[in-house]
Amino acid sequence: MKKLIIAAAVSALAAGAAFADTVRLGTEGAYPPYNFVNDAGEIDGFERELGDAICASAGLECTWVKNDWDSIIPNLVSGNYDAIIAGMSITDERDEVIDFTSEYFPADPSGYMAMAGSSVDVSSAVIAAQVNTIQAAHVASSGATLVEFATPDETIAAVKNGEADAVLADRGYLDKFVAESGGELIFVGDGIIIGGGVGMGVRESDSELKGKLNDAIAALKADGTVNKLIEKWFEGMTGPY
Amino acid sequence: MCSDPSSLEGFQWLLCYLTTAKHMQFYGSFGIVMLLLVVTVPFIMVFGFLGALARRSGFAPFRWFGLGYTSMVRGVPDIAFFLFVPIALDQFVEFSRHKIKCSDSTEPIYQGNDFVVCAAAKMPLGSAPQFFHEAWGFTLAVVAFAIVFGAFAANTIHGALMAVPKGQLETARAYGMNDRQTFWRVHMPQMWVYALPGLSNLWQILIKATPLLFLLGIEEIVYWARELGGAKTGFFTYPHPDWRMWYFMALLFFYVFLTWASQKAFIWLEIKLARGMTSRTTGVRA
Amino acid sequence: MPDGNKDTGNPVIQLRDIHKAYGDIEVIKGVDLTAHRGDVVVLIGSSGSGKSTLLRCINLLETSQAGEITIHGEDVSWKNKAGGRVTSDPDQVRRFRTELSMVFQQFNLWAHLTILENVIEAPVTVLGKNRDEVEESGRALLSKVGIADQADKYPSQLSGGQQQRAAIARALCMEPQAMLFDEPTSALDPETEAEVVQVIQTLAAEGRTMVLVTHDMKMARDVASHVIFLHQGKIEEEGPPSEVFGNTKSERLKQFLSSTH
Repeated sequence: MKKLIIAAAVSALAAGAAFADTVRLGTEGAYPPYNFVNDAGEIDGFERELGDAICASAGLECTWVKNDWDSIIPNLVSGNYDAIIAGMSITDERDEVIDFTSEYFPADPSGYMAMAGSSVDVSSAVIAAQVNTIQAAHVASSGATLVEFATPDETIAAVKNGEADAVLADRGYLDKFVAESGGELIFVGDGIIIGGGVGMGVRESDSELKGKLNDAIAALKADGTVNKLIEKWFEGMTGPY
Repeated sequence: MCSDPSSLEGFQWLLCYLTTAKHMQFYGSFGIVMLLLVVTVPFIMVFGFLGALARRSGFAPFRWFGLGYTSMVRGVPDIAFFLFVPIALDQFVEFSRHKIKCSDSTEPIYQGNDFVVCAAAKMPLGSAPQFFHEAWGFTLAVVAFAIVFGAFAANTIHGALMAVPKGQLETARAYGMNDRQTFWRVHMPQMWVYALPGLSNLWQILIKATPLLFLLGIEEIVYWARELGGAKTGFFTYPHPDWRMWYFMALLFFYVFLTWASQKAFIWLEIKLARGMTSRTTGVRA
Repeated sequence: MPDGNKDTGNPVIQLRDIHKAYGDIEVIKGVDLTAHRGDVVVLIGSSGSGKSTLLRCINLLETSQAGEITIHGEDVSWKNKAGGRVTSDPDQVRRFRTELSMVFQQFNLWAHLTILENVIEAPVTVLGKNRDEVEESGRALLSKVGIADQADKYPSQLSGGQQQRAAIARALCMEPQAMLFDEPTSALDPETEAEVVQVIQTLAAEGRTMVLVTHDMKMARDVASHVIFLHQGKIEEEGPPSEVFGNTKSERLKQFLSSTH
C-alpha cells in the first residue's frame, strides 16, 4: 500500500512537473457581459477578467476554450477542458453531473423582457429562453409556453420579431438591451430569483482543482477584486462580497 | 483610422467593422470549410472503395463487415454519427494512451460521469497550444465525415461496379486478363461513369453538411455568421442590431456559388469520363 | 502462321465427352470435337441446343463438369471441388485463353477505349508486347477488316458491322492458335452482316483454325470444313458440309434446315 502511494506520488510529481498548472477554461462566448467574443476576436467580459484573476491567484496557467452552451457540460465531463466559467447558475440538477466551486456572482434576478406597449401575462404567454438554462426550466414549470433557442442572441431576436411575447434571462444580460433600445424594450414585472449564485463547474473527480479555485475565489472576494469586477461590468450593481 | 470606431460613420464605419479581427476569423472559417472538403474527399473515396470492395469480397466476414458498415451508416441519422464518432475516437485514443503511458495508474478511467485519464495521456496534452487542440478536433471531424460519407460512397461505388455490363468483364477474362487486370483495366474505368452521378450528389450533400462541424467544436462559417450577426450592445466596439439576415445571405451566396461551380466541374468530368460510353452500350449519356 | 496443312501434330482443340449442367439441367451431354490446324468447325443447332455453351466451355468461360479439354496436346488441369470440378491452374487458363481469341455475338468491345485501343489492349496488357509494335500491327489489322479510318473512334460511334469487324481485328491481334466465334452475325442487320461474313470467309480461306457457332447456314456451308449439328446437348449429325447439307441423314437436321430457310 505504501509502495503504491509512493508510486502514485512519483507519477503525480512527474506529471505535475511537465503538465500541471495548465488549466483549460471552457466558456460560451455569447453572453455579455459575463462572457463574449469582442471585435478583436478574443474572449472578453466579466468572467474573462475574473477567470484570469483566479488563475493568477491560484498560480495556474490558464487557456480559454469556446464551446457552445448546449454541449458545455458533456465536453467538460469528457475532458475537453477542465472548468466551465460561463455564467452558469449552481443548481441541484447540474450538481448531479458536475461539481461547482463556491459562487463568484450572487443569485442574479432573472427578468422578463418584452416589446414596449405589448401586454404580456408571463404566466400564459409565449416565453423565449436559452436551452438548458434555469430560466427555461422555470418557464416550463410556470404554465407559459416555452420556446427554446441555442444562443442568447436568438432569444432576443425572437422577441423582436414577434416569435415570442417575452424573453426570460438574467437581468445582467438583458439590462444593456433594455437600456440601449431607446424605450423599445422594457422589463415586464419584477425580477425573480431562480437558482443559486453563479460558480465555476469542474469534474466531480477533480477535487484538487476545485480546492484551488475555491481558495482563489475566496481570496479575490476578500481583497475586493470580485466586487470591483462586478461593479465594472454590471452597471448599477454593488458588489455583494 | 479604425482606432475610434464610435466617431466613424457610414461607409468608413462599415469598412472598419468588416475588417475587425473577429471578421478575419469569419473569413478564415471559409478556408476551414474548403480545407475540410479538400482533406476529406480522399478519405471518403478510400473508405468508399474499401467498403465497396469488402461487400464484393469472396471472404464472407469481409462481406458482412462491408454490408454492416454501409447499412448501419445509412440507417442511423448522420448527426448521431457526427456526435458519436469523434467522442468515441477521442476517448479510445486517450484510453489507449493512458494504458500505455500511465500503466502504473491505479485511478479508474471512468469515475461516475467523468472520463479521466492521466495528464500525459491527454490528446493533445493540456499544455499544448490551442492550435493543436483545434487541429486534433479537425482531425476527428475528418474521420467522422470520412466514415459517414465513405459509407454512402461505398454504396455508390458498389452499385456502379455492379452496373458495368458483365459482357465487358467477361471479354477481359476471355482475352486472358487476370482479376487484377480486369479490375484496373476495364472494371474501374467503366465504373466511374455509373458512379459519377451518385458521387456528384454526395459531394453536394457533403458541402451542405459542413455546418455540422460546429457540433464537433470547430468554428465554421455558420457559427461565425450567427455570432457576428447577433445584436450587439455597447459592450462591443461596433454595436449593431440583429444583422444575422445579411450574414446568412452572404453564406447563401457562398454555398450557391460552391454548388454551382462543382456542378459545372462534375458535368465536365462526366463528359470526359463518359467518352464513348453512350446509352447504347452503357445506359449513360455521353 | 496458317499453312493449310491440316494433319500435322496435335489438334489445336480437342474435346472428349464434355458434359455441362446448370444445376440439375444438363445442357451438354457428352460431346466430342476436334479442330486441327486450319480446320473450320461450325456448330449449328436450334436455340438451346447447347452450341454457344459448348463454345464457352472451350475457353473455360464456362466450367464443364466432365470430359477432357486438350489444347495443343496439353490437358486442362482440373481439381475437384464440392459440387463438381474447377480448373486448378489459373496461369494455364489465362494462357489458353490468349491462344483462343473469342468473338462475341454482342461484339463486347470495351466501351471506354477507342477502336485501336481495344485492339491493342490485351496484346500489351496480357501478352506484354511492345505497345508501338502492337499499334502498328493493330492498324494493319484494322485495314485488313476495312475500318482503318475508324481507329480513333469509340465503339458506340460505329455501326454493328464495323464493331464486329473491330472485334475480329482485336481477336486477330492476339495472334491466336484458334478463333472462337459465338454467333458473330446474329446481332447485325442484313446490310452490315455481309461485311462481317466476308471477313470471316477471308479468314477461313487463309487457313485459320476456327470454331464458329452460327445460325447462318449459308456462311456455314461456305466456310466450314466440318459441321456439327447439336440437338439437346448431343451431336445429332456431323461431317463435311457437303455431306451434312447435301446428304442429310437425320430427320431432326432436315427439319432444322428447312425451318431456317
